[in-house]
Amino acid sequence: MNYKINILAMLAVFCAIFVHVNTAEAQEFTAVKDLTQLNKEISLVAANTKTIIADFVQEKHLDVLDIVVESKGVFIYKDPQKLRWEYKTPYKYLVLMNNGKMSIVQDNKVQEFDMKSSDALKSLNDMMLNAIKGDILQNINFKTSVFENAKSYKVRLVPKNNKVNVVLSAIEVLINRNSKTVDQFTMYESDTDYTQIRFLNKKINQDVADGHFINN
Amino acid sequence: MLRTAILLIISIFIVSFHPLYGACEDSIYVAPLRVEYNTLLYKMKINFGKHFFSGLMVVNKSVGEGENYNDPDYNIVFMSEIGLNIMEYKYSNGKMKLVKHTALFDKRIVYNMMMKYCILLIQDVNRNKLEEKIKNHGYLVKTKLSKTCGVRGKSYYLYDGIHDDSLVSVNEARKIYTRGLFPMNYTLEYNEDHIPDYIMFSQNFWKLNIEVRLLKQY
Repeated sequence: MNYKINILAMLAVFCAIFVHVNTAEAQEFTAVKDLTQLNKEISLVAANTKTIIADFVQEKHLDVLDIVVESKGVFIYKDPQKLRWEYKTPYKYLVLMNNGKMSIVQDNKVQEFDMKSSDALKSLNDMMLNAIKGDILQNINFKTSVFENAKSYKVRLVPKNNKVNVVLSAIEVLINRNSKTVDQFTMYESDTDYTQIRFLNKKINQDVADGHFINN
Repeated sequence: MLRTAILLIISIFIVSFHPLYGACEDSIYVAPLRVEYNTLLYKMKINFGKHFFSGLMVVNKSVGEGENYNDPDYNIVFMSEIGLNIMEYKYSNGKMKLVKHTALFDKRIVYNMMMKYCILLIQDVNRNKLEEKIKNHGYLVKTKLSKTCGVRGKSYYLYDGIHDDSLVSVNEARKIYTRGLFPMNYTLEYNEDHIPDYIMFSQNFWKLNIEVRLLKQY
């Protein structure tokens, strides 16, 4: 049960590799004209991105709730295969990925998973690496549609895997048109129930110590 | 030996006649959310057999007008930290029903027990009556659970720090023991707004343990 949830946690973080701050204005999106060129540009940016540090704001929108459940935290990525996804408020929750292993830390307790031990985790790990390399538009595990407007590219990913499909109906990623990095990441459970993650205060290619990816 | 026997007799005598012990048989069910709060956000941990799951629990009150004002609807949503819904229940007209659940929790025993958990969270006794009893009589109030929602058992309100009629410092808790084939234990500790800020629920046979702590009240 928890294992599957952790797969979803990985799904949540993999697209966040390309972090950038900007909220796209509501404009009409049309189908991308030159997908090959876009793919090349995103791959180039990803290849040159060695570290990312950013804050994030996560909003949970639910049809039945008259409030938005908001969480905030910090995101750190270091090439290759190192990731720190840390919720700071209103609760503490830490996900670490380091060279094929994932750790979840809460209440001073650590759960560890070997991402190479199962095909599902391995495919998600590969998916994450592909995302780093810029292959987000060509992932075979998702049916992908790409749209654009003056500010952003919108990538809509519909999972083909039934196990993922029952939890997520779609993922939408807004990529900044200028920087080719991700502005916003949204997971849809239905049209009205979704989780939106925005990235703030991004710093790219700053020195990041390996200690950030180890549970102390 | 003789002294012990005498103390025992005296204790029985005190318990039998001392006004600190009160019973509230005529439970009127109201939810733990008072008028000024509509939503509670909890951090949640669930242990079920060898499985462990953590996430958030949201209790949301939907107050309508007219008749619905005194009998509001409630939505209880369980979700993961990253925001994905796990289970959703709705309490309306005195009945709790499962609205939806993910395949991850597609086990009848789990969502039925979770439903009882939600019922017990919503059900409460009339606090005005309780406070009157506390002020006049004491620190332990015994109540009965509702039969209407299929949960039977006993419920105890425990209050520490009360001296005579003074209600200066009160630590409030509630213990619930249900009856039936698979009895459950339930502990609720309340904050100064009389909102449960720590809830622990356990069912030994299925090795189900749910623990939640209040993060925010809106």
